[in-house]
Formats: sequence, C-alpha cells, structure tokens
Amino acid sequence: MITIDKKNTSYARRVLFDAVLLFFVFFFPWWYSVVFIFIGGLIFQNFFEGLVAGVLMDALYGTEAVAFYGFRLFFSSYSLLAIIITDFLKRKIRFLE
Amino acid sequence: MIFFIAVLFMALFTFFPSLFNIFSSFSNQTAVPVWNAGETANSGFSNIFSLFRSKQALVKKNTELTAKVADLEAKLGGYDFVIQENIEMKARQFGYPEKYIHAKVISRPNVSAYDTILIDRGSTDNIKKDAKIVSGNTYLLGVIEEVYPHSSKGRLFSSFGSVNNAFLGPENIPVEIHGMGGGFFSVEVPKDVDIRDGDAAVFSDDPELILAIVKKKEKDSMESFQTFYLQNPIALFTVKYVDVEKVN
Repeated sequence: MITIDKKNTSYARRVLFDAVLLFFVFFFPWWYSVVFIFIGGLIFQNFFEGLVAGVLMDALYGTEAVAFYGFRLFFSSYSLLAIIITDFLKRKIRFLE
Repeated sequence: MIFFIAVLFMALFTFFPSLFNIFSSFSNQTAVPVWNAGETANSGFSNIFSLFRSKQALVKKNTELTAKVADLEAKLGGYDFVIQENIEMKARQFGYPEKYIHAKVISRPNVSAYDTILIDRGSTDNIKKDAKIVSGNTYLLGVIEEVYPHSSKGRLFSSFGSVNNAFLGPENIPVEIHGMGGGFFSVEVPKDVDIRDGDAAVFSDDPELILAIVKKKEKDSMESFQTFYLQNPIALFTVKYVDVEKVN
C-alpha cells in the first residue's frame, strides 16, 4: 500500500519550486524570477531561497558600474522586501495562511 | 533572526565591495558550465522541434521568405554588402584579424536587468577590463567591466544612466548620448540641427564604430532642444557572438 507523507510532499514541492526558480535565474528574463520570488513568498513559509536567488541575480549580472552610491544589491533588496511583504499578507489575508 | 542575518550580509556586501566581488567571481565561475549546457540544450531542442513542423507551415514560411528575399534583393541593388560579408566571414574562418577576440555570448540583456552581457572568454584568453565589445567590426555594444578566468561581464553602453560622448549625423555633431536600457538611447540636440531617421551616432573615441541609429524624434515642443531616440542595430536579446578588443 502506498502512503503519501504530507510533509515529504510539501518538501518535494518546495525543492521543485526552488529548482524552477534557479532555472529562471539562469535562463529566463529577469522579470520571471521577480514574479516567481513573490509567488514563492506567498506559497511557502520563510522563503529564503528567494533571497538566495536575488543575491545570485545581483552577483551574476550586476556590475560596480551600475551601483547606486556603492549599493548594488537591488534584487537582493527586492527579495527581502518581497519576503517581508508576503509574510505580512499571509498573516492578514486568511486564505493565504 | 534570519532576517537580521540577511540584512547583515547585505550590509557587509555593500560596505565591503571586495567581499561581494569575490562572491560574484565565484558565482560566475560556477555558472559558466550551466550557461554553456543551457546553450547546447537550447540548440538541441530547436533541432528536435524543427522535425515536428508541418509541411504546410514550411511551405508558408518558404513563400514568406522568398518574398522577403526578392524584396531585399531589390533594395540592395548590388552585391557589395554580400561581398563585404563574405570577406569578413572568410577572415573569421581562416584567421581573424588581430584586433579582436571572438567570443560566444552566454547570457544576454533580457536575462539580466542590468543590461550586462556575459561572454565565454576570460583572463585566460587575454580579455582585459575596459576592452570594447563590438559586433561585426562595426557596431559598438559596450565595455568589459569584470573579468573572470573563463568568462567576462560586459556593460552595454545602452544601460540605464550610462552617458557617453558621440558624434551624431552627417555633420558629426558632438553630443552626449544617454543609455535607456535594452539597446535604446536618447540624445538632445539644438532645434536648428537637421537630424533624420537612420542617421548614425558614432563613438567619439573611435569614430569607426557605430553606437546607435536614430529611430524616432520626440514630438515637436516649444523648447530650444529636440530629443531623438536611437537604437543599437544589433538585436541584443538574441546576439550569439561578439568581438572583444585586444588591449595590451
């Protein structure tokens, strides 16, 4: 008899989501990753893989020349903000809990 | 707690840019095989999908292309362009001119929001910082910003906020050309200057290299300056190869 462990299914889903996000970071236009990070934040608790994706986008594609007064972590900041905002939304909107 | 750690890391990366540069270098070196595999897979998938295209679609495409060829032939009115291209391709095949290093593009501006381009040549191939990135010996795209052992990152002149000196139009008017992102530029010139669609803006440091072509003029206003929008003629979102200037 096959039994499905809900925790493992959720874990597998999260790993799959992370893999797709990573694929987007490398091969798809940047706005795909931006949207996916936000969606990930809504779906999963403490979606820090989104932050990793943001830092990776800054590291892979950003340069010192496009820094704003020395600050060049634009996607990292976006990811952190997205995680904070989605966390807030999840607490305020019942069906997202 | 984790938020605190994230903010701490971001502060460290901002106040100690060398730390971030090390991380960036490591990420790029790790990512190069991934990008290369992606490029190979992409071309493989294109070949597989071509097998499934219907005959009708191919016939339709053929008709379209035949019409296009006839149109282009009429426009060319000669074969000078073909001859020139032939010479360039032969030069590339049998001994590329010493001035440039040929490189494959592994990541393009649509993937990167920063209008940067990543190529598969690095310090081991003698790529240097600030070397010009050109296409077809004619069009200037940008400069190399960061060099890693087996890859390099270049910033396009069209990146947002980038300002460069250029000569515009047949009268070579000196202008400041502003990058708008995605291969687009804007330039302001006095109202009495005659600039038309298709006029070229050449790079002031090397007037043989074309930076962009005038595409559109902003609607007439009462101001004493007129704004023109220019575009790099190279399709940056699909560019496969570029040439990088050899710097000694």
